[in-house]
Amino acid sequence: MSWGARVKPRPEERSRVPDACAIAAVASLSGNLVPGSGIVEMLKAMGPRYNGLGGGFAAYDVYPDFPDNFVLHVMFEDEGSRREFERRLGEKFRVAFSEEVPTRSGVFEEHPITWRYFLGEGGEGFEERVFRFVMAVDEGIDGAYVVSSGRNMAVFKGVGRPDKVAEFYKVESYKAAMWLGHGRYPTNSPGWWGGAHPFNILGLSVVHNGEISSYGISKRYLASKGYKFIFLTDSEMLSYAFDYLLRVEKLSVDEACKVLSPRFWKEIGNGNEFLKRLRIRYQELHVNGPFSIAVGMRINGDLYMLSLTDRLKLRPLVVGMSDDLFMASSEECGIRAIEPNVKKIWRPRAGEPVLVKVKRSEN
Amino acid sequence: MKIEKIPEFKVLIDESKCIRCKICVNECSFGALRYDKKKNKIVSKDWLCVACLRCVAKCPTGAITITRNPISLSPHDYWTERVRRDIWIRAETGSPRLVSMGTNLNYPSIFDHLLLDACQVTNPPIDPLREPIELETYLGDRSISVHSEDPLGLMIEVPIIFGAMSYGSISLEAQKALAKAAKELGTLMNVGEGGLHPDLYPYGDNIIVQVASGRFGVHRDYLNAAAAVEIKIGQGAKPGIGGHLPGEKVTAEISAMRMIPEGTDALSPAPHHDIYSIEDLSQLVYAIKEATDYSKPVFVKIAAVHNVAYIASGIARSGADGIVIDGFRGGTGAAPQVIRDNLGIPIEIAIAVVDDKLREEGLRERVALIASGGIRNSGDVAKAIALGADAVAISTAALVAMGCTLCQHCYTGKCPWGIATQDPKLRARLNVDEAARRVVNLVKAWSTELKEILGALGLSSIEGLRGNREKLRGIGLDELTLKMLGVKPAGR
Repeated sequence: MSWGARVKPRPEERSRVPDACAIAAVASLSGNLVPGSGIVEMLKAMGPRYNGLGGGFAAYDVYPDFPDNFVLHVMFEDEGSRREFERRLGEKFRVAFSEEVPTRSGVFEEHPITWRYFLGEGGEGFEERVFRFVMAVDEGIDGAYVVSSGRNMAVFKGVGRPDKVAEFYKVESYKAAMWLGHGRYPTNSPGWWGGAHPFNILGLSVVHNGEISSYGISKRYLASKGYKFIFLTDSEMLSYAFDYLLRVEKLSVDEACKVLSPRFWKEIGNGNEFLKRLRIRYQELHVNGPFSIAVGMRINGDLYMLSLTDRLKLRPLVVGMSDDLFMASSEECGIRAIEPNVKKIWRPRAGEPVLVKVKRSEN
Repeated sequence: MKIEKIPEFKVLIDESKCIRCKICVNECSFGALRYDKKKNKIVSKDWLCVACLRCVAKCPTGAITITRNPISLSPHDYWTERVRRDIWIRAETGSPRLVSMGTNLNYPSIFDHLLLDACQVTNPPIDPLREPIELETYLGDRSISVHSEDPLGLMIEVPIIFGAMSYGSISLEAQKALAKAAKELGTLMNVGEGGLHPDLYPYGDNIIVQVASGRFGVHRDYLNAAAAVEIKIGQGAKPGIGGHLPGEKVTAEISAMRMIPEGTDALSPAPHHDIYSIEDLSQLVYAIKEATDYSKPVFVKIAAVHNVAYIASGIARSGADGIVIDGFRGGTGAAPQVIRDNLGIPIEIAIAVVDDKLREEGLRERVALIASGGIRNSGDVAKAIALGADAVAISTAALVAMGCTLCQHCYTGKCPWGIATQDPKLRARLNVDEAARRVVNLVKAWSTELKEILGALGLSSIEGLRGNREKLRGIGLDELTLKMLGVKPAGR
């Protein structure tokens, strides 16, 4: 039985589709949980930045009943893909709990079915096992796509306006320590539900606005490191780039940002040997061309929100702070939509990362 | 007249313009012009003319024209005039024909079937007049950890270096001009296998010295004087064969540089006699590293041949820091014609398959890839880099910038421009400063053009183009060639 909406392209259908977008992110600075309605309001304020062909959300610390479990959110086109996925999952992992992700009917005529699987283990080497499993599923099961695979987090996304996608997944019913949101403006109708943002791998999620001019070489580089490219989007590449630099190469977030958005050689000069080595070694991951991104990540149990632009700042990025919230947005109106009383708003300089450690809620 | 002497060119002198100054007679190093006192006019031996255009350039009244000699051999599209002439020459001499520069046959050029992308609407082009665009290029092993203190390779300011041309194949003046240009541009020149003249030692930071099969002029100070050392295995114009500098060209100075007796033939054997396989190459790489205290990158230069990807993979495992690949169009001072015209593969394909293979094997970061052999303009530079090269090496283009007209007679040693000659009178014709200025100008112009290309592609640095084949599209290339190049057809 097919559910009439596609989750990902088959290898022969893979083609690169440029897109532009609205990005938004919000996290609590005081350990409160932020309701899903807030991130939806941020995106609704930036309506002209998306065209109804993609929207999505990432939520961190969203499952209080499973605070330490890795959870796979998986989209299926049909029942056969789900059975095949569950067979493979059972071979590799013990599942503590699984259920279909609840949705509202009547929002989309056709849509895939999404399930979530809470994995019942952890420990040394577990992330690497999950990573390999996700790559194998994405590459190996035609009608299945893993949309998120981190600990205590979720990605909800689909082909539609972000507010529609939120309505569909009942995003307003969730509360999270940190949210990322995205409204997509692709240049044609790719139609794959998995192709919407955020892109996630393990604890790392990216929402992205821009078009990466150096995509061709970054993709070749990461493909040679074992990453499987299903959607050929810049954002998929960015999530893999961060994962590679942070998890595999063990760079700090700041160092990873200096790889993606390096300083100019004139600024590096002869004095800064480390920056020079960083730029030389990872030259394929110098993300050349316009981008602004918000990244959610979990490192050693701590949650971080990062926002970053390319070193010429060819895409907009605004950040803001109130007593309780930290926000990043494509436009200022997004910030004011969730926090009319915002205390401080600023526009980070080109290529300068803004990294916020998110206070964990007591749950 | 013997049939092979039917002239290819014809010297036409406008009697009404000629003032009998005889400059042309002195300038022609091939002896094609003579002043006839009785007739009071310049007469030509057309069969000696090579169309170098020295006389045309130097005639103060513009009286000289060189044309193709419009001979009418009975037409035959298979047994062309060229084919017939080649047979006549061999029939007369009984020897292989020597030629110079890269092959002049009309093989298809892949560069001319590749097009670059540009940004429109979804992505803003970058204006090089407003935003910085970087061409700085690293050559060396970059697999070393960022926390390591091992010495890095070389940074050059443009992704263009000068290819290997020895003292012997070109004049000391031409070498000096290249060294000066390399220094001013912040890049490298390569002295080839003829040793390093004392005058060039001050330019050491911008020089690659070569260790070739003849080992001419190789000693510890030679290796340590340079920024990098290149082991020459092969050359695009003559893969698999050695070199031969005739004894009459081994002057006192050249004998000193090459460390061989004056007047003896300088023979470079076809193989290195201590390299009969890949494990031997590794030993030489480390011998050189030991001699230079691991302070200098060691490159290995090979000709692009059929199995180039596997050969390069072996070299990347040998400890070398870079691989220079010379395509079949690469130039030469002298090579047997049949070798130059028939051996090797195009540099475009070689770079693509080598870059692919090294990435597949996880070796790409261990070595720099330098493409050479037929790079004519900044478009070729951009395409070679997009296919996967870190940098390109140019030689013919640099000589043309100095004034070479590609008459393709370097092997005669009679270069009328003072470039490919050891004749003191001819050498004096090349003004080192002027030649250096023109080479610097060429590379500066190409650099500006590269920045324009990068800007149009939405890239603010050259590393975004390197190996980024998304930025290339093919036209008129077959499916298999496109697949090997990793390039989509135009329209996709």
